[in-house]
Amino acid sequence: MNILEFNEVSKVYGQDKAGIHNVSFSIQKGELIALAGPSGSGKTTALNIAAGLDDFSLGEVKLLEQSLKYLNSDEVLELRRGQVGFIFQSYNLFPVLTVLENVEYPLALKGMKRNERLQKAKEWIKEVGLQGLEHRKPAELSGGQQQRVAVARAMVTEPKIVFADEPTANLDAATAEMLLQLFQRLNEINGTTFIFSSHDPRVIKFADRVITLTDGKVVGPDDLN
Amino acid sequence: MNTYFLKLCWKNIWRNKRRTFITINAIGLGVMALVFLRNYYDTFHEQVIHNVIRYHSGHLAISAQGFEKNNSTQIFIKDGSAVNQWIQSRSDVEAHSERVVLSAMLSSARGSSNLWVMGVNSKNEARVTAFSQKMIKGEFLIAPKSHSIVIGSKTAETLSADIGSKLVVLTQGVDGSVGNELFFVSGIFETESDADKSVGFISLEDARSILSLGEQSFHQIAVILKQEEKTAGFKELFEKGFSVGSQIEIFSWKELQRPVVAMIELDRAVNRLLMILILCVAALGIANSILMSIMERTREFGVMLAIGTARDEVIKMVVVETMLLTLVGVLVGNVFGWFVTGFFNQIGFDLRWLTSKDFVIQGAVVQTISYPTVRLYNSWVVTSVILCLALLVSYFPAKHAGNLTPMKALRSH
Repeated sequence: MNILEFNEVSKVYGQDKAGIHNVSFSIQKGELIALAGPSGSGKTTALNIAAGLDDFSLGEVKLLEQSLKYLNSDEVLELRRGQVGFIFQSYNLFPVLTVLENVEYPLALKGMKRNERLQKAKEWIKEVGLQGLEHRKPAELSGGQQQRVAVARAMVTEPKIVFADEPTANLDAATAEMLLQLFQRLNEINGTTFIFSSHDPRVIKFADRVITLTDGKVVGPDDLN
Repeated sequence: MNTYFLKLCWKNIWRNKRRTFITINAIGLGVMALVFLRNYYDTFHEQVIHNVIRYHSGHLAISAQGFEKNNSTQIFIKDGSAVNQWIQSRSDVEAHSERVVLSAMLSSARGSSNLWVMGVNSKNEARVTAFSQKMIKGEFLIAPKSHSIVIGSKTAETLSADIGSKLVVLTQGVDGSVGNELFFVSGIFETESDADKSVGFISLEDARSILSLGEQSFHQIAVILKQEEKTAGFKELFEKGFSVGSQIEIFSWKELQRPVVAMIELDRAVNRLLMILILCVAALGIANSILMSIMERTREFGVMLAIGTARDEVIKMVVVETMLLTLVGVLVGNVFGWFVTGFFNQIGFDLRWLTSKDFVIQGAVVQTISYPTVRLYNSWVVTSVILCLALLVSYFPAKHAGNLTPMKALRSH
């Protein structure tokens, strides 16, 4: 079953600045995918379009079997809530909240009761190896620890698909490897689909499959064009 | 919105403590000033009303038709027994006093003075007006038909009179004849009002005798009710009872003291204007604080929207943050407002440093010192208005945050 499909998707910024051109690929449930390519190749644009964060000019995108073209912004938001996880390059944790509260956030959005929410958040904090740091604020954590909180926040709702935009860009090599191993483990255990963008070959090697973009076009083995 | 989001909102308002403290201070100071001022004004107005009631007509004045308008002693109620009976039957009446009014010239060996001399029953008058409590020499009135007179301190000064001094009261009787009688000063009052130089008291019997009035005749009955709020109802009932043909009219203190009522209304309007100005300044402070907070957190809103926060939840969050911030300011302001009111309730709030003279309104002095009391109604009004304003000023920043697109917001720094 395809969890994400890109059919001849193009995104044009302004008059002549192109984001991506006729990009087509499909990703199946449970895959660990790397969107690779140099800076400016359109990785982030493709990732944002895939997640319904950005709109596209031409083509069709199907996320979780729903065509994003026919959904309004609120419907896309509803689709994302609970079913899609996000991990950002610069972690983007809420600075006023503790680790535990940050992880609780998506569960609170779903209206889960406090006790259940706390239990689940604690489980995921343990899962990412941050037990004992529940009451720390993000500023009191290292970059790697913050990114692991971001992973717990993305995973706590048990989403079907997780998007990670350059998740290791701000991390040292050892921490980056640890994070990728965590992705692999969660992918194997939970069957969660991971799509992450990166230009670092050491990171890309962890993926089951690599979709390479250059100048906004898919090149390499996954070029369905 | 569940407790988690309330906690998040609460934490958000404290992310920039200095800004939050400044905003809370601005709201708190405005609310404190308004709560205190409103409490002070209410007490001050009550004092003014009390003074005009207790030194003039009472809550209501009943007289023959045309007396109040023309101030003529020729217009009087010939037989007031029915009116008296009706008033005495009322359980809502605290006190009443019949008055015979003389426009008289008082002469002593040293000088003369024109004033209104009231013929009253001393016991009844003492329950209606406060003159008997303002005696600085002698007693209010010793006995009926005693030829004793009570005058104000200024009159005493003009006539060089003291207790026991002889004064001749010269007036025109209702039949047109000139009446004059010799009186002895039995008391001197000082109210610090115009009454000190313009009013004197003699017994009801003496007054009737000089004016050649019958036993049941008088010019006016001043009525004090147990509750001021019942004035209008009492007046209506009286008018029903003594309607067509009775030639008797009744006026509430508000009708007799129109300038006082107008002054209070004007005062309240200025107070409302002041409230609007202070609250607008506070609202601007709130709007500024919220706008800055939103600008700083654009990226965070992008994250919220990206991970599935609905737009109306973002709007709600900003509105709740504004309301929480305002609520803290309002609570602080109210507590300090009560404290300041309580403090001046103990020591008195004196306006003498702002004005060199006492206020004289309709001949009654309004003391510059007031002892304001806490009135929860005022806190309620101020709190409600500022919360409504906060809701209003939060709406546009909240809408702005809710309308952000995740991509744009995530790209901001």
